[in-house]
Amino acid sequence: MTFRALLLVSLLSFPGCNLGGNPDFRLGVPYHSQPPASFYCGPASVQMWADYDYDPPFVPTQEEIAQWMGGVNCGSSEEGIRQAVNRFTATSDAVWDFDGDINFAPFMSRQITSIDNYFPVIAILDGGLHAGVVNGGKWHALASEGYQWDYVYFHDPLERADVYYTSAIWIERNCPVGSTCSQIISHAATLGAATNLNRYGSDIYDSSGCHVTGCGPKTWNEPPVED
Amino acid sequence: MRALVLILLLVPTGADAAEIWSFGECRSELARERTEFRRQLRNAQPDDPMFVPFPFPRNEHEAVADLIAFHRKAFADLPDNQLAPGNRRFFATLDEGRARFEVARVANWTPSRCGRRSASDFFYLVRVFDTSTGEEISRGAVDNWGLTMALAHVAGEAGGFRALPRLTVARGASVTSPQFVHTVGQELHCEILWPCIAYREGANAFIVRDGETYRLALERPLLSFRQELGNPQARRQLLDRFTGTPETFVTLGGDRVAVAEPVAPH
Repeated sequence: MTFRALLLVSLLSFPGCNLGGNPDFRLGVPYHSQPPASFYCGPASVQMWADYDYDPPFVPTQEEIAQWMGGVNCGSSEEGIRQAVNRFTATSDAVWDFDGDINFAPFMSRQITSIDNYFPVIAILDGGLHAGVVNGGKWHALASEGYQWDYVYFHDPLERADVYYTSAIWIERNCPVGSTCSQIISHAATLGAATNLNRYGSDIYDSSGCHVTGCGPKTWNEPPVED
Repeated sequence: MRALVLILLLVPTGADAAEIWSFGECRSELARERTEFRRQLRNAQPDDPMFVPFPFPRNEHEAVADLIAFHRKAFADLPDNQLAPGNRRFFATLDEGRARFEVARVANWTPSRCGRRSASDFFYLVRVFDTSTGEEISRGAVDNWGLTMALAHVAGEAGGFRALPRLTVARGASVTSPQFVHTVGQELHCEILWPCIAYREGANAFIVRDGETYRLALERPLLSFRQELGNPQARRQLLDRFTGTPETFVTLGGDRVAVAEPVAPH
């Protein structure tokens, strides 16, 4: 934690310093599955984050987390997950970050920036029906504008570690059309997001070449920035 | 540089011949964007990021080629010694001609069926086996536009992939149209790479996951993903409504969500 806190402070002085230079990046969040036929995707996600921050004696069980949340008989609420992150991990400033589906660009910018700052993110998928931990991925800046997820490594507590999602389907699952984008994220870890977005452009691109205002290969004629 | 030395041994699972069916429908509001994206995807050149060798693949061979092409491009800038073990094994199996593929079509009943760019009625589930060991080493999904959706590797951990269910459903001769299905819901969750089975029986439709069978209560009013799951407050009310009852709900594609009732196995 101390190392990561110091790292964050140094990174925030130069927000986004890694953006554009990461070929394939995983935080190394330890994976934990949820019990079969349970609603424990929330507690399992919090447990993964806690295990990333602490050594085993201080990593809570999913049952402990679920009980502290007041039970998860019908699924975890985003607010419950947020509070549990602040209670059980080394992060104390977790926020429930949600936005309209059309605002997926700044939303994804915050997600990428948090990973870039070595902080996990609990992604809320499918309009709030599932949750898991973003463990990394690949992104790159474009010379002209924008930076993008090429793909994401997602620790799915229901299935397995490091399921690789391409950015297009990742955006669809994070921000379903007509629903909300939603994630649990450290506020401090996202502080560079706006700067990153301005620095690299106004849009997040996905690997099909699409962005907020439409699709097209024209912006992809530029080679990626190599830091 | 990883050369493409690929012997394509491909085994359709039998699900591909059947029609994919669903109860979802896409609104027309994004039709123009999808039409434009379709045009661009079809006309993309190899240096375009959206380029796939076979846009709108017509068969399993083309879907596999699209999956491999995307994955090679995504990792082209990484030397072999920086690849994660699962990726390294995936590429080695391809390059050394030891790959065998099994491909099945999966109906997409999630909201992403009516996505921002593409309308993905179904996708190809591609299972990659290493013929030297017989082990399933990777599992991927390519949508019906040729775009890779997801991929996962086994990297030496015990157990490997959870097996796919068999498409034969033991409910008698009246069962028709079994298919794999990807859907999300409360508890009843059928992930992209771990789909469930859906089938019809008379006027009814069912979903089977891990041996548990649910009937879709299509005669009851359908729920709206946008209105009843689209914001956290409404979703909480919906979840509370189902708490303590045996019923649950699943998405049908687009905006439609159905109540699902557990039924006793025959």
